[in-house]
Amino acid sequence: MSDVLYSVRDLVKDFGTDELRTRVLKGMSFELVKGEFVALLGPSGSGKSTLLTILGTLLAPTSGALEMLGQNLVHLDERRLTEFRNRHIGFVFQFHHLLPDFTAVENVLFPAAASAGVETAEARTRARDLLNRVGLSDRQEFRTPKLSGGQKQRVAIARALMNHPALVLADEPTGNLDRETADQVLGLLRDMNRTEQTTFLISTHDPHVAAFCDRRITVIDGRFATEAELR
Amino acid sequence: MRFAIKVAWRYLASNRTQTALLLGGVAIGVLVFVFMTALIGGLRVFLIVQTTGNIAHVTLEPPERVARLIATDGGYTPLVATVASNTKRAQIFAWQTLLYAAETTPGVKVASPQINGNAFLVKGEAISPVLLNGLRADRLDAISAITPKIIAGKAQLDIDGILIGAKLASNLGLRIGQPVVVRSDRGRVRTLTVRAVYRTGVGSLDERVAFVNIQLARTLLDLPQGISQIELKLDDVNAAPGIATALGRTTGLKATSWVDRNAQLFVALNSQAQTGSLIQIFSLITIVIGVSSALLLTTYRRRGEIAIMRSMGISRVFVVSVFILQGLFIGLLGASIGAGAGYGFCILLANLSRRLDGSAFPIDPAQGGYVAVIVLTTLGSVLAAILPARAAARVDPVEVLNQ
Repeated sequence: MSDVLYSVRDLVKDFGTDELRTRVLKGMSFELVKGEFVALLGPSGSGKSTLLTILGTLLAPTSGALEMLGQNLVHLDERRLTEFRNRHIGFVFQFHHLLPDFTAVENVLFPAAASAGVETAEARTRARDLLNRVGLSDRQEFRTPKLSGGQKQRVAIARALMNHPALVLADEPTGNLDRETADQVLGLLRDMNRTEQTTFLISTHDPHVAAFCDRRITVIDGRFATEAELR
Repeated sequence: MRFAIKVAWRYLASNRTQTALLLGGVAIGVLVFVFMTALIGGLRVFLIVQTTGNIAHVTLEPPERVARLIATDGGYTPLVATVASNTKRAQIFAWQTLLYAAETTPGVKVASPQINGNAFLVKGEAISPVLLNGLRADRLDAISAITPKIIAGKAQLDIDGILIGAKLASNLGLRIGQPVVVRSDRGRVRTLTVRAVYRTGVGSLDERVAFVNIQLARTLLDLPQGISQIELKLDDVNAAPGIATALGRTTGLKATSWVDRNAQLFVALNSQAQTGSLIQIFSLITIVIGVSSALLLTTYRRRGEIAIMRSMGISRVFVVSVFILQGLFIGLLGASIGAGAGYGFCILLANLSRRLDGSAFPIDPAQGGYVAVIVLTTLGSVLAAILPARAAARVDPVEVLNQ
């Protein structure tokens, strides 16, 4: 059985039309292996966020092949892509994007409850377990505006892992945190990577974050950096 | 769906001021709807009761003599025709049988045989034309309640007595117990005694009508066998057209319902109902616009949350249902509050009206159309939520999250 989780071939993404067309991703090919902890590096505007949104099936590529868990994602319709995203992909953003009218535990179980239509006891148990593991056992019933920045980001991580996704895409997950809290969050991501066997692709500018990862991919101007560029 | 209900409810509960204002707006719109419905319904009943209270619901008269061809066998051109004659007096013969048939018809409360005709009342040199209305003594109040309107004397329809209106009494200078000469259009003259004077408030009745015993009318109006008409009161005024048609068919008489005789009243009632319907429609439109605009604002305010839901792989259907459910809750709750408040307001006005003269606010709280307004408002509110829900479903998560 192949260990490849995600296979990307000749990925191109253009924005705009005709003479205003801008090519943001210029033919990228790579693979993510199951259980990997990968850093996606590159300067602002290099195409990191676009790559993450395409990998996360939020944005369709202009051309190229995307295959995850043996499923060709390019030809799936919007409804099936949504279902696929719900089951297999989790997101962590720089800004936590929690739902302010809900408690921490409700935020975590949201992806499972909304797709199932009901809030099952099993989902609630899983959400509580995740919150315990991110160190928020005493904050489970708090509305999210009452949590600190670090606590919010930990709730966001628990939420991303709720449906046992095969892949978590994290876009600058520590970009908005102080160093100490950032380290705690990174440690948490690493821990989840190990215990849940979840693949993480973490977009970052920060070499300190990159140092935490098994592998580093650098994007420059819409393509992977060459050895020479990296030197 | 249960989780969508929870999310929709939480969204409404989290912004209490906006939700309270929204519910208040819907409730006021519904209150106006209920008030208008109860007022128009009450006014209709009031006017119909006022109109039908003192008149016959169905009148049976001699059939009209219409010129007609005499039928022939085999479709040949007829050579002989009967022509209407105006020289014979119109009267109902064999009226006892027809009266019995009318009285025993289901829905008929009471039947009053009558002999009517024109006469002059003469007192000294004063002369006043009147319509003599000959009634059975036991049916004096059957069609129009005369007894409660008597201001002097006693309701006594004996063989030489007469009941006259207050205006007529004033014109002729007549008082109770005084004699008055009655000269009918058939040339008969009798001196009668004024037994009672009534005041109905209806000018023509108080000045131009006099009531006598039917036997006296028979003599005065020279109608030895027949009667002029049979008037009926029914249990249900709305059944009048149906009963009139049925009686016309079975008796062969000309049967007219009060509805036919008061066509203008129905024109006025319908026109009033249409005006009320317009106000009701505008109330509903206001509710729909209010709900829609408030939910659109909510959609805009929650774009970030909708985007994050979409990134979690939550379907557009779920997002749409959250907003539709908010519309449903607002409609159902607002309409229930408005219907309750409307009912209370109508009861208050009805009590106030009863304490006054009964005609100040002829409102009927039972006719508020509560179920209809709750159903219509809820449906309208759900429809109003469709536009914001579609806007929510169209939120592009990438665009919003990049902001």
